[in-house]
Amino acid sequence: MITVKEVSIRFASVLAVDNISITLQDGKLYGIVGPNGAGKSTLIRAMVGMISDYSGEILYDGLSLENNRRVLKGTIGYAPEDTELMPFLTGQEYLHMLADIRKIAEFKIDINNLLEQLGLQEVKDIIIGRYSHGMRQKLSLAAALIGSPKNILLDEALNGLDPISMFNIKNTLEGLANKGHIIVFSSHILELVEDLSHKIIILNRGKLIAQLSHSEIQNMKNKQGKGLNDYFVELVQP
Amino acid sequence: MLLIFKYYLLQFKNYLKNLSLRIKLEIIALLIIFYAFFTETLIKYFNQLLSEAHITSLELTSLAQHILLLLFALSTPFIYINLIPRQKGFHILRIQPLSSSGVLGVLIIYFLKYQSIILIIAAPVFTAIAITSGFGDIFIFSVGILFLPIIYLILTHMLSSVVYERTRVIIHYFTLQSLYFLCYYFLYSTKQFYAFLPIAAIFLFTILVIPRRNMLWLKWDKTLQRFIPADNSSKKPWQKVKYNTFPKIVPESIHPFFVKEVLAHLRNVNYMRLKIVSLVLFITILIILDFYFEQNYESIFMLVCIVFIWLHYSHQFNEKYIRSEPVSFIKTAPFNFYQIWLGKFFTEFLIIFAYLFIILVALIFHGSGWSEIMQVIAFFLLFSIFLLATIIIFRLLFYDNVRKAGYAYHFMIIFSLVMLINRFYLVAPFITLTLLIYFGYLSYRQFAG
Repeated sequence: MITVKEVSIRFASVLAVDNISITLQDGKLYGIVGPNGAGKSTLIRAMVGMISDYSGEILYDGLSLENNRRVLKGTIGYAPEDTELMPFLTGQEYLHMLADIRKIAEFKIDINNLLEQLGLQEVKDIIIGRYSHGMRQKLSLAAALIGSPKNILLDEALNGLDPISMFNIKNTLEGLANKGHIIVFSSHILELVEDLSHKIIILNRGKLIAQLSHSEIQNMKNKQGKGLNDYFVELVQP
Repeated sequence: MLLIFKYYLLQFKNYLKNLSLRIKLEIIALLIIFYAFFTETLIKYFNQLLSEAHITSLELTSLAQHILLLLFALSTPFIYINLIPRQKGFHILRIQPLSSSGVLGVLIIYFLKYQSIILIIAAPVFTAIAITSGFGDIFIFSVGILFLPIIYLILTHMLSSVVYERTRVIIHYFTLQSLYFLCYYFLYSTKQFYAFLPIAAIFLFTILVIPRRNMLWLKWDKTLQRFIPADNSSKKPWQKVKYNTFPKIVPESIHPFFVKEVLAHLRNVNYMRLKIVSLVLFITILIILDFYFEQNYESIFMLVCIVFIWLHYSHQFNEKYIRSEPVSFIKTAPFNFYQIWLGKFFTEFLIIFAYLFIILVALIFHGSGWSEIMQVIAFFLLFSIFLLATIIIFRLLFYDNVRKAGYAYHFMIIFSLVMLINRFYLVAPFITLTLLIYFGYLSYRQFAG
């Protein structure tokens, strides 16, 4: 379980995350949506330990991230929004190296599966410096999933995937959630969030403005004829 | 052009606005310390020159001015060929429909960005001359310093355009600069017309530029085509070395970091070329020393070795040879500080082993005694370890920005040297060590949790 307790993050005069509290249960897929500058990436970056200058508390199964960062890093898989990777390693070598650092025993099968699912088999022996942006994004996603960490946080990492890779990754993420993993992802694509998430978290201007379960959205659709898209626009539009 | 200047200034203004008050105060305090130190030292030196070397204040002004111009002249092609192509802003603007004057404005901004370092150096000289020589000389000094770089910029653009299109050699530029400074030296030594040289130079360069004026204004776009990002990757035989087949020569916990660094070097053509050329040059110089420098062999040998070891480490803060670490990797991958530190240390030390081996062989061939050889090897071993250990601390402290790490490291080195020169012999090593421990701790803190 991940607990975000009254977390606020300020960058100079801008309050990027404003007193957010959420609890993320094991075995669930969470989609975070919000307009640009809503605080999605900032919140995820704080949750993976990339931002440590915040007030409030972030707990993983009761352990504070601030005080147990080294231990908890091993349980977190993170795919960032930017795709800055190591340009002189090949895609396969990069995953191999991460598996070594994470001390994952069965990494060879894992790496091959991930490369297959994401359609990176053909380019696995080419150095990352020659990858396109899309390829780097897929590799970054594979890096987050390697060793199937307990907590997977994906910051806009599913946005640019091609249909086949998306289909495969959706199955993988659902499979992991069924095994008790927590998956948190942010996206602008509301259809994807609606389709994949068990629960949707809506942020606007750093504030948590709504939390909806999949069934609540279905009810809304059936009773009011409104989808997530309409609801989102209603909430966010000034 | 004015619009370009306006937006760049706005960017700079916003950057300053975002700096915290503590950093602003630190910058101001350090600038005052350096400014005061260099001004005081220069005033003493200038007074000594005026009283003992029998030169007039005008000659002194002219000399100081030309030393600074020499710095401008030498740095110009480096900025033009190496630094401008790496500017992100430049690449963004390159694809915009800019007018010729707009492109010229962008180029001037980047020249000013780097050559402002020389202007900062000029500030204490300016003050020292004002105090020792008076206002009249300052006027001549200012005219030269403010106007000649503009002429140099135009001339360099013109020359490099011509040279790149035809020969791809920059030697013409240096030939012309050498001629100018030789001419200056000749006139200076005869002590005639020295004060009018900047004006004469402006006149001369204007004459040179006029016949080529079309190139200046019409060929900007063509010239910019060569500003494409450098591709340092390659598929040479050494790229066949793979991560998973790499022999385990370091402890298992350090292995991934070590192999990552080694492969990054092996696959960087620029790095490999630099190391091979340096080693060949080192061997050649040691052979020449052995044959032709019987007298003072030991001292020259030591100096050459120190310079080459220093040069070996010099690539550490250059983005051509070293890539910044991805922030997400450093912040989220589960490893300890010592793993990444040792990974980098062992990688860079591989070449040091080669240097030490060459030093050993050179000393044996020279006929040095075993105890002397051991002393020399031990000295270089400790020297290399100390230097590398401090460099890696800075690289990890600024893991996401290689250049910033370089600025910080060199700032510390200059600070220590200033302290040593300025009579604080005993305090300087203590302060340096304290600073190193402090920076080491900051660097460690980033990985602790």
